[in-house]
Amino acid sequence: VAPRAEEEDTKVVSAEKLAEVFAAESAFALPSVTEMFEQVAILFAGI
Amino acid sequence: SNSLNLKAQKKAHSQSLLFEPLIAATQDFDTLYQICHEGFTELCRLDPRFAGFSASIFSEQSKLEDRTLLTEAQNKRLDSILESFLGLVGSRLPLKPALQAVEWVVRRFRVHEHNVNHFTVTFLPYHAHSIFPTVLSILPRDLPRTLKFLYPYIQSLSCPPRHAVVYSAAHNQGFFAFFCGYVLKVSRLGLQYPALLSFWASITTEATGLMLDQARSGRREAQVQYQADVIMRVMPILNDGLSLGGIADLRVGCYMILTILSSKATLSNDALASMMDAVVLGWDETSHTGLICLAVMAQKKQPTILSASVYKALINLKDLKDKLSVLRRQYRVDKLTLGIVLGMIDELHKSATGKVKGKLTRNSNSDFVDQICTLFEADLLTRPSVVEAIDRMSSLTVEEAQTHSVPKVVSDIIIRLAASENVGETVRETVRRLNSTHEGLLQGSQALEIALRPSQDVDD
Repeated sequence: VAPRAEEEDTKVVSAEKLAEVFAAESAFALPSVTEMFEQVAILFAGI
Repeated sequence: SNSLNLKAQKKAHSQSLLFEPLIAATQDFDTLYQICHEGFTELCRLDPRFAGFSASIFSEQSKLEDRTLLTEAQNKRLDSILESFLGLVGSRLPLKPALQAVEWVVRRFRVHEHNVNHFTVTFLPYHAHSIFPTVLSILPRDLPRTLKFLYPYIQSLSCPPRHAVVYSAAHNQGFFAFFCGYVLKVSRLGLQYPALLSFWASITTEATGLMLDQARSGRREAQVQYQADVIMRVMPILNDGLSLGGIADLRVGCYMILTILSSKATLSNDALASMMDAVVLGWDETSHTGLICLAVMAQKKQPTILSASVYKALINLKDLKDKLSVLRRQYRVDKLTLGIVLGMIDELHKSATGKVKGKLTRNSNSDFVDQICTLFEADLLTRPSVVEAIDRMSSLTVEEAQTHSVPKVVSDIIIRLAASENVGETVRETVRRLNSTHEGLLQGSQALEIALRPSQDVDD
């Protein structure tokens, strides 16, 4: 049985991709810490 | 030299957040106090915590306080008060009353010189705000190395972009340490505000990612050393941050940095286990994000055995299976689920074979069997994870086969899973394969033997 796509190792995420999560001009325009965390976790361990 | 000294004093006195230098130079402290105290009074109306400063840095007497005439101990105490004030006023800086009040500590106590790191970092979340170039304009020429990244922006009196702050956090260890220390200190005093924590968490996460990316270049030995340095730099901050109770955003910020560390660094199992322990310690209101963080870290852990404290924290979560099922829609949770299942199997097995004091009651045994089977059947585990869990159950059974028949609870689980639509085939195949190498596996369990027959045999 072939492994499901999600059975691959943790993804390699570039600095540019990570920076996109925090792409706001001002600290006051950033999403909440929880929202940012969830997006970062999706980058590294998302389905 | 007296005239030079006077000239320097006049120039220093003309540095202001509110007034043009020519106007500022002509103002005496009585006039200034009146203007600045108005702002302070307004701040006290907005937040009663400001009132604590009315007897010290905003007292009438403060008009006469010249810090160059204070002793070292008096200056130290003054620093502490000023830094607390800056921490509290940080969230209000876009308001005019806040700037009026800060103007007083600039003009009277020269906070932008004597407390330059603290002063500048207090304004840093406002790096894109129109006030920031004014802040830069009053900073001393001999900036500490911590803030050297601001030089080009001081020259042009322009706002530093976000990536300049990130780059500095990644490459200037002094700045990284001070910035993180500042946020932890402000949080310890209960003076944190959402934008500061969002800003800190985002900058620190991105900077940690850059540091770890950089650690991948160069010779192998150098890479290992550099990565260890990065971990040594970041871990004490995370330990401090996670130990501060009641500040959910700070905690989630630490989870975000842990996610980067565990995903980009090559961590030992012991290091991963310690980090996972830190996540669950006092995670009450952050257990949702904590669960995601554990799921990310568990993907990197080999083998997926959870520590006793992580296992206990997870088992005690209400509706654990439902929570994992919700996360499963967006994140990989297979390794974390496997860790939980393996922990449950071990606990159940120890209980069933009398290896732990205080056996589970028959009722709780059957509840436990039900919980384990539910996790298997909820489509949370990948096929290799199912195989690994069955393997673990079987190996425990084989260990016991010398002296006991197959523990009934283990056979109960296998019988139920063998009939499951989701995992039945994998379970039957795995146990049949294992039975061919371990003859004692099915000993004494006719029901188990029947359950493991291929489905057409059962139909016949």
